[in-house]
This record gives sequence, C-alpha cells and structure tokens, in this order.
Amino acid sequence: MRFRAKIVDIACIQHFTRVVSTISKLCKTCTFRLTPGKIYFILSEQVANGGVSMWCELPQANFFDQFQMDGVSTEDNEIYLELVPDNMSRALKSAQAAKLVKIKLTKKHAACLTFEIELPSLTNQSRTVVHDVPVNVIARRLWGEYQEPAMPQFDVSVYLPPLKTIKTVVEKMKNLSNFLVLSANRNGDMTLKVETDLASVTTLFRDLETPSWSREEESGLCPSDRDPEEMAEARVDIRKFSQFLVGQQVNPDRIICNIVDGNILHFFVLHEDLSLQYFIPTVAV
Amino acid sequence: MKCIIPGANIKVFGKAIHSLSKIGEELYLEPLEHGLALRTVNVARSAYGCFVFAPEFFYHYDNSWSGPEGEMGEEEETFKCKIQMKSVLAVFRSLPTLERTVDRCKVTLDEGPRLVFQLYCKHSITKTYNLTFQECETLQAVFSKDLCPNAITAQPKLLTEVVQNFQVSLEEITLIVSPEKVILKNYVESEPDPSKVLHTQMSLAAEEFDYFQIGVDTELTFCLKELRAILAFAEAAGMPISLHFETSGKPIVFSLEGDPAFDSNFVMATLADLGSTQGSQSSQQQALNRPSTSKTKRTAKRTQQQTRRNESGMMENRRFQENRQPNRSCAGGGSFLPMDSGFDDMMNDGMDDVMAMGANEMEEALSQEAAQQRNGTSLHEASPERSGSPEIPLELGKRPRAHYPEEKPTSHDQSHDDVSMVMEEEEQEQEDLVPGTPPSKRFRSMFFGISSQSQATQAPTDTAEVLCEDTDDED
Repeated sequence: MRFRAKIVDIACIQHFTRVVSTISKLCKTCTFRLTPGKIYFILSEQVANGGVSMWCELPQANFFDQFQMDGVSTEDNEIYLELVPDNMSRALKSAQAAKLVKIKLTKKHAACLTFEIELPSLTNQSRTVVHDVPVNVIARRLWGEYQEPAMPQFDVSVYLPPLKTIKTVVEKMKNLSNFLVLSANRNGDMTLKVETDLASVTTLFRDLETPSWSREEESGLCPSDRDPEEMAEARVDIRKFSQFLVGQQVNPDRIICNIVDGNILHFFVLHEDLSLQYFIPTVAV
Repeated sequence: MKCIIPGANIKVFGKAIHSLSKIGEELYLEPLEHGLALRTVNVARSAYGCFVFAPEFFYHYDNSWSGPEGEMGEEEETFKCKIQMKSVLAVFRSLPTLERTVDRCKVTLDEGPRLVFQLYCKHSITKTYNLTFQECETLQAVFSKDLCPNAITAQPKLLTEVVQNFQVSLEEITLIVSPEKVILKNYVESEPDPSKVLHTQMSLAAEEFDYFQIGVDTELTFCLKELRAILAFAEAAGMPISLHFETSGKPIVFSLEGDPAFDSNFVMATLADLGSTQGSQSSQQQALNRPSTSKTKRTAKRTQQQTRRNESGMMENRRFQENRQPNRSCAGGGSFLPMDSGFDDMMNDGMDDVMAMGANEMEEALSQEAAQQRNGTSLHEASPERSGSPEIPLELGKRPRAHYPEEKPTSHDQSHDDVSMVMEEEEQEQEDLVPGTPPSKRFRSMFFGISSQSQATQAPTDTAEVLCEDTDDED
C-alpha cells in the first residue's frame, strides 16, 4: 500500500481544506477511501448511535496535482483508512498560505497520513510543517461495510431554501425541542415544525423548486402517481439536522432534500467538483 | 508611591497587564528605585512574568513610601503588594478606548488601605479605581541570561506564525535546537495513546532568526499558553523576543529588550526528561538550596517557620524578609522566589520527582557552600526540623524514605556541588524513593520542578522549610 499526493495550487488547497472541514463538522471519525480516480469520505453509523450516514466523493483530479497510489492488491486497488477528520482539518489549517502540500501514507509511531506543508519564509529555505494524522488501516474483508448507500425510493424531493435562511430557523427551533418534523409535498411546499407541551412552531416555505427525476420515474425509483398536495414527513433529531446545515463550508450550489415518508431524510449536496450525500433516519414519536 | 503614566504609554502598560493576566491570577507590584515592577507567577509556578517600567516611562515617578510606618520592616526599603489580577484588569479592560480617551493615569499607593488608579480622561472625567491589596514579599525569579549557552532572537511575527500551527488546546510545546535549525513540535503525553494523537512538527532555518547562537544542542518542553501571552505583548509592542536557555529541566527566559522605558522577562520552567535529569537535578536542587544560607541561618529560619506556621501570615512575611536578603544574593540561579503560602499546596501535590532545575548557575555558588551543606545534611537528618530546610521539595517526594535508616535526602541537598562524589548515592536514593512516591506524572513534574526551583532558589531555606514542616506536622 502506498499513497502520495501533492497540491500546489492555493485555491485547491483552500477548497480541499473546506471540504475536510465540512466533513469534520459532520462526524467525529470517518472512513477515508482512496481509489485511483476518486477519494471518499464515508460515515456509516450504527443504528444505535443514531444511524446517520454520509457519502462524500471527490474526483482527485480536481484537487491534486500529483496523485499516486498502490492499493491493497492489483485487483483491489483501493485503500480504506479510518481517521478523525478533525485532525485532518487541523493539519490543513496550517496550509492556508502554503506553497505546497504533500500528503502521504507513512509508518511512523503508528500508521499515519502525513501532511507536509511548505510555507513561505523570509529566507530561501521554506518553513516546513509536518502533521502526522494517525489512521487505522481497514482490512479488506471489512470493505463491504462501506459501500455507497443506495438511493432511497423517496416520496418527495425538493430543493432546500437558501442555507442561511433555513439555518437560522433551525437554530432557533433547536432551543425549543430535540426533534424536528420536516415535511414537504411535490408542489414545493415545505414545513419545519417543532412541538413542545406549550407550543407548536411551524415555518412554512412555499414554491420551492423541485428537481426533475424523470429518469428515476421511468425506472420506478420515484413513483409518479403521488398526489402533489400530499405531504411526506420525517421526524428527525434536530441536532443532526442542524449539524448538517451548520457544517456546510463549501457553498454548495443547491441542496436537494429527499423524503421517504416516516423513514429517512436524504440530502444531496450539489457542487461542481464534489458530491455529498447525508442520511438522517427518522425517530419515532 | 506615586506615578503618572502619560496617555501615550497607557496602551503599553495595559498590554503588559493583559499579558501578565494570561499567566497569573495575582499581580505583584513593587516600586523600585529604577522603576515600577509588575510581576506574576502562574498557579503551577511554572511560569513567571516581570515588567519593569523605568522612571522615564512615566511623567512622574516617585517610589518613596509615605504610608503607615508601622507595617514596614526595617530592612524593607520599598513597600510591595499584590492585587487580584481581575481587579487590575478591570481598569485596563478596553485598551482601544483607554488609548482614545485617557490623558494620563495616576497610580498611588500611599496612606490608606487602597491602591488607587485614577484615569484622567477627556472632558475632565476622572475615573478612580480603589483596589484592595495585600502586602507581600517580593516575587522574584532568579535567573541569569548571560550564562546561557543558547540564545535566539526572533521577531514576534515569526513565533506567532509558528505557534498558530499548533492546536489551541495544546498545553506544552517542545523546542529542539541545533546550530542549523530550530524544530518545534507538540509535546505528546504518554496518555492517551500517543499513536492516536495528531503530531505536529515545524522546522525553521537558523537564518530566519535575528540572532542565533546555539552552544548546546538541546530539547526543551514548556507551556504554550504562557508563551502565547508573551507573544501577544511582543507583537503588540513590535519588539523582538530573545530566548535564553540551556538544557531540558532548566528554565527558559524570554525577554523583550530594546525599549529604554521598560524591559520585561518571562521565565518558564521546562520539563526535564526523567532519565537524564534525575542525577543532575538533585544535585542542582541541592545547589539551589544551598546558595546563600549558612547552616545557622537555616536553623534560624526553621524556627521562624515553625512559629510562623502556628501563627499567621505576618510571621511568614517576616521570615521571608529575613531570608530574603540572602536569597537575593544568589540571584545567579534560575529559579523562582515566590514567597506565598500557595506554594505549599503545590509542593504537597507532587514532589515526587522534582524535575526542573531552576538554577544552572547557582551551582558555582553552591559548590562553595557545598561543604557547609554537607555538614548541614547531617544536621538535617538529626533533627526533624531540619527537614524544613530548603530541600523540602525533594524530601516531600521522598518522605516515605525518611523512614529508611540512611537519610539520603540530606545527601541530596548537600551533595549539590559535590555531585561527582555524591551522585551515585543520590541515584540510589532516588530509586529507593521511587516506590514511596506517588507515580510521577511527567507533566506534573514540570511544575514541581518549578516549584522546587522556586524553593531552592528563592529562599533556599524558607519555602522549602515551610513545606516540610507542614507535612511533618500532619504526620
């Protein structure tokens, strides 16, 4: 197993930093998967821990100027590592003005993902900062646990309102209750609701755009015979939802929200050079 | 004491207080002939900060004491006090505002039970702060920069940029120097599992520094939080920082020089690595303890201490004062002289392995006294009181040892300079000691070291004695 990569362009360094920072806000530990063409950040929580899962993939060519890897074997040319994304994010914080960032898999005091960062200095010699992010290598036989989650057969799909707006609303609601009911219909109406013994607070968003899923409809993934007025709803842990909203550091173009009535909330973050999916299971009353 | 700070200097003065406030909880104020000294030490006694503002810094500076005479010891030339950092900080809270509005600031410490800060602002507004204070002894770290083989001067920006690469929560940083370069890395404790922790390391070429002289390759670990406090001031003042240091376990001194109106020094204990330090440490400690006091003095002090213990803080002060003088003379070493009783707590906590040796240079002086000390050692053992002697820190750690027929502790103390001779013994002793002592936490040890330093240097006799006695009493 070998891995080394290099980023030279400062815009790429900063973008990659934002991606990692987003991931670090969504989960404490995650799986970092490397393939020759793409890198992935994967979270699949046990149901007991909330059952949230995340799938983030980036084509490596969008970020790295150099990217070399040898996987576990020629047939399975991939590497799966378990790491704390916050460590990675801290390491990259040193790189905000870097001339060069090298990332490589090393064996030091433990298996590490080593970030070598060259910073400009007053002299000819650069300052170098080295961060060793400890990792666990995930054995081949466990890879099956980290497969891409299947696209759920959702009842309703809408584009979320602007992140800033919805974030403010949810932050306030968080003070009232631990659970939030998100419901929407195919006409583009969406409500966020919290309830307590004393109050029920609902925020209604109207005329949201709805993504077209014509191909999915044909394949039956998204049944087309649903009443457009009928609301589908999901009751979720408000902290998980808020974490997702607050954690977004990459300025996504749009966020699609898919609801499987009474089952799961699925978010699809669209960005030109990465895709992020986030699943929050519903919680029964 | 009365002084008036011109408006233009308020900011510097305020910044100094801000930076000290990040280190200690109490501000020690002492009007000296050559300027007003502001000092502090952190709770763990591992870091000490001192600013001396020269008379030129003020419109008017008068350090004479005109308060009630009764409280002043005859030997005291100046009145010293300490105040709660929080209360002084309240005076200088918003520096930008002060800078804009304050024309001058008058500080008076005279008749009356209050230290008075008066801010004369625009529009004839006068803000008066009356702060309660407590009389105290001089807080003085004993150190010498001149004898350090290693000296580095850097622009504050460089160090600030370096420090930014480390986590905010990081407690200590390790500095590794060689003639070509400087490496800084985060200090990783043995718990939790070091292999699960982010390791960060940064290297800087020697050319990045304004001055770079490394006589001894070494590796030092010290607190990052206090370093940040120093850097905050240095960066605001735009003054280069000089680092003077020797090896691990000996203090590192950060100083800002070049402004005739004030100078400042910060002394931080460094973590001594167990393996190498123990032998030398003990010797050093002894040295520290030795420095100024003769046997007779010690005994006298001891008795004083005892009395003091029974009685009140006043006694302590007295005692300190007396001891003081000798201590001061030994200013070559690198340890702190904090005089408070707060000490005791520390000492009790963990004298296990006294790690940091404050006084490098002390040794010479000590050596001279070593002979005396030796004699003293015998005494030590003989009388429980003895234990009160300067070495206390060690003893505390080793107390269990005391039961052993041969009291090594004494040898410890005294051996200081005779190190060569005594070394073996000491080592053995230490080993013996180990079982009795609580498991030494390396981190802690650092502070201990410091405290030990302070004890040793400070009042070779005083503080140490106090501690010992306390423990004895309890027993």
